Amino acid sequence: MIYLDFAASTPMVAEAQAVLTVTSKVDFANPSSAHKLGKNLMKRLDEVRADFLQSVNADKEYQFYFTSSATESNNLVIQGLTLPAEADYFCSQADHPSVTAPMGFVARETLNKIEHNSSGQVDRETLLNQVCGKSGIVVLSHINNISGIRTPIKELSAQIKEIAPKMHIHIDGAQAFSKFPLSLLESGIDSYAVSGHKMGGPKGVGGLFLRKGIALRPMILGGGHEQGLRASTLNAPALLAWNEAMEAGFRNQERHFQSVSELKNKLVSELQDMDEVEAPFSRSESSPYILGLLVKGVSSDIVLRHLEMSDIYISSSSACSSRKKGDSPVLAALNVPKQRHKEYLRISFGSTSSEEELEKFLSVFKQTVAELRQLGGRK
Amino acid sequence: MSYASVVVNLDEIWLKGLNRKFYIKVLRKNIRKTVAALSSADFQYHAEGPKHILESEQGFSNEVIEALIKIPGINSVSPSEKVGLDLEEVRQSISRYFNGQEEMPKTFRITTKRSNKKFPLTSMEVDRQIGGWVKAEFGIPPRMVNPDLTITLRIIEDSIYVSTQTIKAVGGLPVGTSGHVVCMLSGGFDSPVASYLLSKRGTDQTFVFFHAYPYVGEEVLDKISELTRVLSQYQRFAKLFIVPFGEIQKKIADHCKPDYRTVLFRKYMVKTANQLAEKVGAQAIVTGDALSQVSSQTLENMAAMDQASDRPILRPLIGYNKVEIIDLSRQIGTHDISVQPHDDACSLFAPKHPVIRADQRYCAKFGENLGFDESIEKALWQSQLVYFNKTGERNEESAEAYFAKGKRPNKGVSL
Repeated sequence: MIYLDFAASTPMVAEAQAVLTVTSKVDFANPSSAHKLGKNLMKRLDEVRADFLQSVNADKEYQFYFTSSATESNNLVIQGLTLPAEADYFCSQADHPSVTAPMGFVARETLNKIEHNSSGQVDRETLLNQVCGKSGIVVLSHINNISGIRTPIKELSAQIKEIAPKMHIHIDGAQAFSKFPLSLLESGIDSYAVSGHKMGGPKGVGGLFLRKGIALRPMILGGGHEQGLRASTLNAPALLAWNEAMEAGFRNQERHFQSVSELKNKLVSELQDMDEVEAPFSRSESSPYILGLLVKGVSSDIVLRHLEMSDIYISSSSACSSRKKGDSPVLAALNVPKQRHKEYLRISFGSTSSEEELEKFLSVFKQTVAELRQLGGRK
Repeated sequence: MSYASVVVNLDEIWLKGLNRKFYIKVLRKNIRKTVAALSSADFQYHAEGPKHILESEQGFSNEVIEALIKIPGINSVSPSEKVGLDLEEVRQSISRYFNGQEEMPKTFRITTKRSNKKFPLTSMEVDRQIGGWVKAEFGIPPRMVNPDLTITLRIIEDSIYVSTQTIKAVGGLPVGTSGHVVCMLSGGFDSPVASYLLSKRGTDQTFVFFHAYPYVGEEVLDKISELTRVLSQYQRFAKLFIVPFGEIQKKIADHCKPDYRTVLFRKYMVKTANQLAEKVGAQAIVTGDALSQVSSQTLENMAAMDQASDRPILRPLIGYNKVEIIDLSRQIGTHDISVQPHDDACSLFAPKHPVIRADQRYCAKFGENLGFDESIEKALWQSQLVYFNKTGERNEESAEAYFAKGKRPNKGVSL
């Protein structure tokens, strides 16, 4: 099997899998229990918390809360911030649905759309004009999950805070955390959402970095966990496993970044030989882990199915919206012409992706595209 | 609500002469099996001439009634209360009915039907007596034409069956009396309606869907399954063959003039349907073609299809307009399924200018020496079977397993 859909989800890294196998067996106690078993477990989870905070220099200014997913973290901030009636809401339609849906819900018609330039990057000038002097919330995606484009969040948040000091800045970091160096220290970022299963950790765990002093209305009420912010028994085994994945990620960050960049570049240059294939976001700064392609005159669904027949798996749009047919509001926001939406493919890599895998992919991909172009050729 | 007795009124069967007995036997079996599948209670079934009566102490649920009216061969169904040959009992039954009603009808009439000629009163006399009583007792004015409520009294043998509704059923002839056909299904509106029309005429059907994976996805299979489930209500049980057709379509497209793709796809679908018919013992093919509705349905293009078929191709919708077909689809319960969008025969293959008047010779000659017979046989063996029984329960089997069982082809019977 050749798996090239890491942006949708990742297999657990060996370290995390090993830990999970053990902890899921022995660390079954409820971390909130008053007895020794619970207390010890909670202590270990506090250490996990501290590790996460340290990894991005956030221990002084932030708290780290455990949630079930980045989707939940995004929702917690967007739905939980108490903003005055005159508040303004800013996000891009290219953001993940776990951002656009709650933003649409709380902002309704007053939602301001963040624009992108022709290469798909956030249009910085327009954004700064939009937010100048305003208050409310701006959401930015550190790495866009469909295009792979990287937004310079630290720089941008500093600029926004300068002209709109009361603006809350929230970052969706699901695709970026542990893959890129990040320091939250002295940044204008007020909250940052992360996901376990996008980085070699288990599913069902996520987190939220939240600047100290910012209050959020909890969505889940109950036993007062996470300082009242998020009730529900903590998934200790999964969190411990995630910790391993996080540490492995940071430890190998540079090395993996290099090797994956090489792979992606090789792939892009091979694909450049094919006239009908375009990498629309390659001009912008983007994550080496994600590559978007447009194949002229060929429906991406069919390519996917052909690849599937050879046990190769890629994606044509976010897993969350793959059930819907037709136009993609994400691609529209990224300025991909409507009639080409169904031609979009996304290939995403992991640290375990190899040259052999890519070669095999290329060979099947080239053959498939040639066949399909020939069939549909007369159009 | 449950009814202790159901009077089943037969349709065309009653017109049959010498072989009437055979039709009734098949219908009776179909009815028994349907009721037994949906109701765990004991029930009795007896025939009094053209009236068949189902009785059960526990009564028959709405689910059973719904299923009965979909059995071809039945003209209508009257849930009834059975009383003795005594007008007083009839009056009590009617009183019970009215007492259970929230709103009274504005007008009514009594219709008495008498098959027991020994009963002392004539039908008209019963109408008058009971009618007069209802008027006096409940104050409802009688009305002969289009009354709000019609109370039907059926005097059969030694009982009177009192019913306040007669529900129209599908009519036609019992399934299993007109032979066995292979019905080509697509996900559209037409083919399910065509199937329904042929069910009404008493054919057993084996359904076939040509799946163009990987050029279309697998979501369409859910749709086809759902359609088959609905259509199975008009059959004794349903058997659907899902035939992988992507390879065959590609092979055709690789070798033919692009404008002929659609017509030739249809040709090979018909060939495959014939091959399948051979294996299952069917004598004809059914399609949802309506004259000139789409480009492949011109006379010339349909002739090309006919040419490829050893068996007659039945097109029950040939004279229907689209609007009529859609209305029918609503009536039979397939509309909401058919209306859902899906990849059909995939836009990848669709020629810009599909040929409208196919050259018969080109169509006939196409494919010689390209090994299509083997491809078709292979595709049939790689098919997946889906079964639906009377309770809508679904089962799957590979065609390989099915063919390997060496089942005797079910030729059905036609008279």
